[in-house]
Amino acid sequence: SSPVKVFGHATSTNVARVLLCLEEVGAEYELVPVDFLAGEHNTPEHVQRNPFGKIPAFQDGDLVLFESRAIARYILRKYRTPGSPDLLGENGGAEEAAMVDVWTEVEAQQYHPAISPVVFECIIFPVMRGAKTDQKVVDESLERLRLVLGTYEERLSKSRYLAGDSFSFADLNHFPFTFYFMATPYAALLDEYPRVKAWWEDLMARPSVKRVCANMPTKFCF
Amino acid sequence: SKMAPVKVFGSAAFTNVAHVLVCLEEVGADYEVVNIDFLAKEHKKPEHLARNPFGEIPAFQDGDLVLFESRAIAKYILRKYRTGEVDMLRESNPEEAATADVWAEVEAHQYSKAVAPIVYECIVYPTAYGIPTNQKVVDESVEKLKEVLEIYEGRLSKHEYLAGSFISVADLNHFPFTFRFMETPYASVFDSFPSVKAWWEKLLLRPSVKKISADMQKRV
Repeated sequence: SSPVKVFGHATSTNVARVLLCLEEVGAEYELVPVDFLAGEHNTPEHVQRNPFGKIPAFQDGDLVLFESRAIARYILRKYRTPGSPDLLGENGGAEEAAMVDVWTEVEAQQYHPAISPVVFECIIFPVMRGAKTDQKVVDESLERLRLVLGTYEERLSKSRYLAGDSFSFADLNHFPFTFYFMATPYAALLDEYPRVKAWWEDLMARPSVKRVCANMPTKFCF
Repeated sequence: SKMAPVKVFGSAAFTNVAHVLVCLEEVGADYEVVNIDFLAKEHKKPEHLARNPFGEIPAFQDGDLVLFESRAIAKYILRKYRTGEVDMLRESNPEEAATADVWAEVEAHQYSKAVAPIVYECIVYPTAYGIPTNQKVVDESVEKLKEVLEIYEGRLSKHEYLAGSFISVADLNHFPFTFRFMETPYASVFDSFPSVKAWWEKLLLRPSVKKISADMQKRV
């Protein structure tokens, strides 16, 4: 069967989320660029794949998907092999799958709103729009992030990974924005939360993460 | 043996609690609602923090299992009580499950981001906090919502439900915030999107939705 297609570029956080899952299950894939500067995300061709005109989009034969977390779950279910880890916890029974879902939601609903504004203000807006960092937004987000990291520190004192003792999709979802956060001037914040820092370093050591990182910049010109 | 009732912590007046309750009603599970006194900040006290470390509503308990985050709780319920007739997640079919997941994610990241500020500014802040409506936020959100509904109109003019021919978690996830949105002065925005309006009115006819709509109308 032909490789699946991911539409977008490897430096995008949401594309990286999908690529990580493909690397975890060892599936073959093709990355098809979408030229934002040329407005390609708004062309009928791309809108047919993703009606919101965003990246990533995904194609597996006749199946076309969008929304990175939905694509990710599909890949982890469809392309799981006996050798690849049970990242959705679905073989562990309803309780294990539920804990993966809980901490996946926590990333989306608690962690992401706290950490992403720092990444947007320090990297994405300056690089993409030449905008200046809004320090007030950064400072408010860092305060919010401190509270979240405090809760994570507590959680990681009770279990090895967020959803339990096995690495899961919940942990994986934290990679893209945290990777870029560590390229902002505020990376040292993680040092205040030693269990979180150790959990992050463990994540960064995974072969799948190393392969995806290789295509994501750590230094930015603006 | 009869399963012991599960517990939901928080009242139906809260959209995220209503989300969990409508799923329980869909699958016909026995449940008990345990009120959390929001005004007394009971959700920030140790007993509730032990259930939900972020100090939010709802939390959920099934025997020894304690969960939080309404979308995760919803999935657990829909998975645990799945039958041949009621299968809102379709996890045995990766393509169907994925399509349901897509539109559940759209609800979380596109739809709610437009609808929630309108509900908060028009209803929650004035009635619960005595804070006046920020009309600028409302106007921006209404414009955003119209863009989103344009896309939903495209989808629902071709498919009966968001995931396709079958009702799924994606449709159910839209119920609570949309119900509250219909209580704001902007309900008529839906009139310009006939397929979306028809989909919503069909959802309202479901026994689960009727039951929880009635519970949502009783104020805290």
